[in-house]
Amino acid sequence: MATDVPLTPKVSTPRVAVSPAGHSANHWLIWKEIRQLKPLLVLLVSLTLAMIVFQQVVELLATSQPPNFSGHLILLMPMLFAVGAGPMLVSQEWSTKSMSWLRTLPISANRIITTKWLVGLISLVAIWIISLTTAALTGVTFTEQVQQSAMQTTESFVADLYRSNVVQLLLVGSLYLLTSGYFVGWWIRDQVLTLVALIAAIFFPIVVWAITQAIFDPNEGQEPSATSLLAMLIGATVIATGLMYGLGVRALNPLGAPRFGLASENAAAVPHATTVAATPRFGSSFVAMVWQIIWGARLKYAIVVGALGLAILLQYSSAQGARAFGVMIAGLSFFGLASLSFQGTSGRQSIRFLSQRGVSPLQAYAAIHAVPMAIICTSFLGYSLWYASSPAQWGASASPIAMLALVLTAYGMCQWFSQFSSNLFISSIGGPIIAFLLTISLIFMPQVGTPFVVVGLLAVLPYLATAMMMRRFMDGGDRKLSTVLLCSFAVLIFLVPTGFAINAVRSAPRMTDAERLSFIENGQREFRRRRSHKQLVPMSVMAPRDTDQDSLNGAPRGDRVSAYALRADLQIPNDHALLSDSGLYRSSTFSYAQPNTSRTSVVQSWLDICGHKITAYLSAPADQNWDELKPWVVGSGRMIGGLRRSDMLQSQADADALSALWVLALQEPEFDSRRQTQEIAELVEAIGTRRSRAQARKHALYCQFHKSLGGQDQFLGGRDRLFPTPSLENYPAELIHWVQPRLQQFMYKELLQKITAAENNQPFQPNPERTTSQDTDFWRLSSLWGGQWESLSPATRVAH
Amino acid sequence: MDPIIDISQLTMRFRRCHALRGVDLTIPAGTVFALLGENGAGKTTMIRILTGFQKPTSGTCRACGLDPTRDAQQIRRRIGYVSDSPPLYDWMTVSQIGGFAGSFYENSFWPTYEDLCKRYQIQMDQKVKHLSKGQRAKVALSLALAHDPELLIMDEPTSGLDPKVRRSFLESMIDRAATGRTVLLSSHQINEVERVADHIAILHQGKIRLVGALDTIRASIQQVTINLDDPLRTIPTFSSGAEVLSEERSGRSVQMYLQDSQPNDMAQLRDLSGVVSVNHRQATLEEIFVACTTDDGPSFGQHTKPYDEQELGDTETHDALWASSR
Repeated sequence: MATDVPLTPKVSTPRVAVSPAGHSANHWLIWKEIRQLKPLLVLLVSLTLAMIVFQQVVELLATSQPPNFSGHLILLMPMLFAVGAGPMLVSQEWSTKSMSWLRTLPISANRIITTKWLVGLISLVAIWIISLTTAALTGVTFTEQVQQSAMQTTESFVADLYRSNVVQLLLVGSLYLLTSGYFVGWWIRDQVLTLVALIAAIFFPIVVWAITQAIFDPNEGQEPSATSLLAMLIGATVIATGLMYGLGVRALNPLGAPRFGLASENAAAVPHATTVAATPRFGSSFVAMVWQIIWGARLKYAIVVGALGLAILLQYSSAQGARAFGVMIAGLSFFGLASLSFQGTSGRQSIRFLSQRGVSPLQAYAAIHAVPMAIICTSFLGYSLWYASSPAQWGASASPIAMLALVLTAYGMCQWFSQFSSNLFISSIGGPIIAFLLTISLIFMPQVGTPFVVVGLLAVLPYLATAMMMRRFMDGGDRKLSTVLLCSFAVLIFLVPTGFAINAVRSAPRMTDAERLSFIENGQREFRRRRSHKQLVPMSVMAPRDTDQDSLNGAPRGDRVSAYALRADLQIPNDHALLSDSGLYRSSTFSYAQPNTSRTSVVQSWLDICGHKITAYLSAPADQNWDELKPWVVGSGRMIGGLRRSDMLQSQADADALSALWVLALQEPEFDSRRQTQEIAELVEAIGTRRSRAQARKHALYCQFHKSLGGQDQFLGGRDRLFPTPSLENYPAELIHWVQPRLQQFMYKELLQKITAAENNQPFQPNPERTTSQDTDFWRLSSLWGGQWESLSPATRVAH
Repeated sequence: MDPIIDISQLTMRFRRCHALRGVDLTIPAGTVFALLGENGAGKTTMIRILTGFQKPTSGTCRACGLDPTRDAQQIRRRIGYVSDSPPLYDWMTVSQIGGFAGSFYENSFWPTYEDLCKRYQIQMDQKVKHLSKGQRAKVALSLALAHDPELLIMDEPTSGLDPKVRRSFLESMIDRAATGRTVLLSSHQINEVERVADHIAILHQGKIRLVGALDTIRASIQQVTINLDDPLRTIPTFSSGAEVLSEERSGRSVQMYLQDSQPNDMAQLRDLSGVVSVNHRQATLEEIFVACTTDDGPSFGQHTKPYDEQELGDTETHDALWASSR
């Protein structure tokens, strides 16, 4: 049916812009700087929200005490902002050349520098206020939040920084980071080099402070004062501010004429001298592409390769701090490689150049990642060599293959973000954080019932997505599709495990009434039977400085474990012994003790040191080396005994790891002549038999079950955080009633089956009522007495 | 009247080359002055020094009566500068960037800027990153013109502009000169320069090769084509003082550009033995530019003897002369 519609000409009404005239120059300058910081602020706020959601999801799904991610917010947000503000406001302006235009305006150098710095400072204050408000809204006091974060994120001497003056240290530290970011930005106008120099600038005061401590006060080297670091930071901030102004004025005023020595006078005398460069020749176009990408970023690759080499060398150091520092350098290098893959001269420019020459997207993609992949794989070859030479690592930490898989997963996500974000600094800050969050999510997925195939697919997804987006990226980019893909993946990575978790909970077989009754009776009995005095509980404890010195820094101390147990000033109940982590403390106003549900660093250190000592002995089984090893044999025996008497399942796991190490070592012929010694005999007795180990594990299991039903632990003040009790108190009661009986009863039931299977030397058969093939409980526990644990090394089978 | 730009013995040396080598230049106020030169001739370096971005190795210069190395900020208040690829803030709108820049100048900046944008048909609420290359150039020009600068410096301003806009762009420069303002234009577009410039300077390898009023320069340079009976014959220098800007041989034909030649120079050439014919005409600016920036072949006084002292000799003699001139 036709209708008569009056035809009227389309009249487009021109949009009228509001006149921005009338505002002062200061208003405009401040507006411009804040607007330039917007991407960073949006990123940080988004990350904060993502981390809060992530924390909630993990807490809900995980069966163990999850890491407190939201606790890191208070440190993370202001610090990340402080690091990123200078480069965003200064280096980026140089890179986009908008600084050149700014310089054509009649603005003094001092005004530009001051405005930029003040805007950064005011924004930093605002970020601090937001962080503190977030902390207050989540019901956590500032001091507690900071100290928890410090405890969780730091080890050894760094934790001491938070011993006192914590607020001042953080505030001054963020101010120093902010100022050094500006200083580096004015100094180095290349974005990539600015990032590298900024990392060096960040660590500079700590390194100077550590060296100063070592030179002037070597006795206090292990316990440096936070006040001296505070003074150092204030001094560094003042110096960085001066340098910032000096370099800024130099950069913005007319550039000085270059000065040459006598050698270059002659060369300069030839006008427009041409130099004959060797023409590179390549066997194939792919090699040429790779060369172009490497050559375009040769300095970046040189720095990364150097840093990774240093990281590998540090792994051979006997000092745990040096090894941790090496790991940190390696992590920064890997993230750097990924964050920069689509940035700078070797990234966008090279890719667009290739695009104009008709190179296919997949070829370009392969060329971009060929070198980083080669660097990563070579690094892991080095790591594997160290791993192979360190017996302590057998069955005690992630294998090189697992580590490589994790790094490649994180790399994949980081490089995706690098393709998505055209801003180098956003890419460098946001990429690693998002990669970290998503990788952690992937690690958690199997624990909540997600099949490994799905996890693997999700890990590969960023690579596929980046490859898919290559054509658009090479043609100039379609940000909308990239955004949709990125958000879809982020949602997917949360939704997939949630779905599998729900399925796993639904399929978890509950205990029968008889089984539950048996568990309750055994739990009551075993809880009453808990041993006193000699029980060993690995803990993170904050204690006064003078009480927990040297924990593992000095001589082996297994024979002093009992002394720790009886330390009165920590007010430890007599039924607990204490193995303290180094570097943690109790301040005068704040006392906190948190048993670990994962292996403590002190047990890991013990394993590591024992491994080195054993290796030394096996390479030269002389009396001298035996004398050095002997205290560790004795200490290990006592530690295994103490751990076995513990009513914590994690202690049993620690005892298993230590037993496995020694069982493997004692099978070597070099120990034949020592088998009859009293030290070895005591150690073998501590390792015990299959039956004795099963008894200890069952004892811990029943005790844990009893406590999970409400048996309060005096030491913890009623906060039962020992084992798979989800901290569900903040969730709706209906949800708790749905999750808890299914999940917990299933886990206890299955753990008992595993222990029994191990006792009888039989392979563990998963409960046929389960609809998923995956273990849905805490992975470490699930692997302890099941098939996965057996497969770790020959020693574990013997220890089993 | 004081010159708007006064440069004396300006030298700028970088690590690999001399960008400027003792440049002397005076630009009178109220003119459209074109700075011509090949890529890398030193034009942008000179502009950077004039606008206070770079300190010279030696020499002095003054723009608007001020020393750029000391009074960069005052100079920037009085000049407008447009580069070939203006690095504007991509995330700002046309309106915002005008408001931002205008806050550093007088109140008259904003209405003028608005008028200019309207004339160039640019939407004020459009983001700079969404503008085409030509539109960006228009915004950059509007920003540079809105405070009515005494001196407008433009480095390759018309690249990327369509012919229609380019025409109005160039006409606006003439208008500016008519109001007593000065325009310093650096360009490769010879035909544009020919249309708008009053004065030109040709910069080659860091030196001023030619400077003066455009009409005078054009009138003073002749293209001379000489047909010889033997391709190896050489041509001696002119006794009148005419300078050979460049010389190019093709078989028996020699083409040269002569500056300040006298009428009797042509007659003398025709009278030389071995010369079959001589044709001459006024050179175009493009030909002058090429002649001044060509290094090939003998030129600039390499003719060893003047005409009145030398006759064109036989082939053997010419061989020797040609070889020595090489």
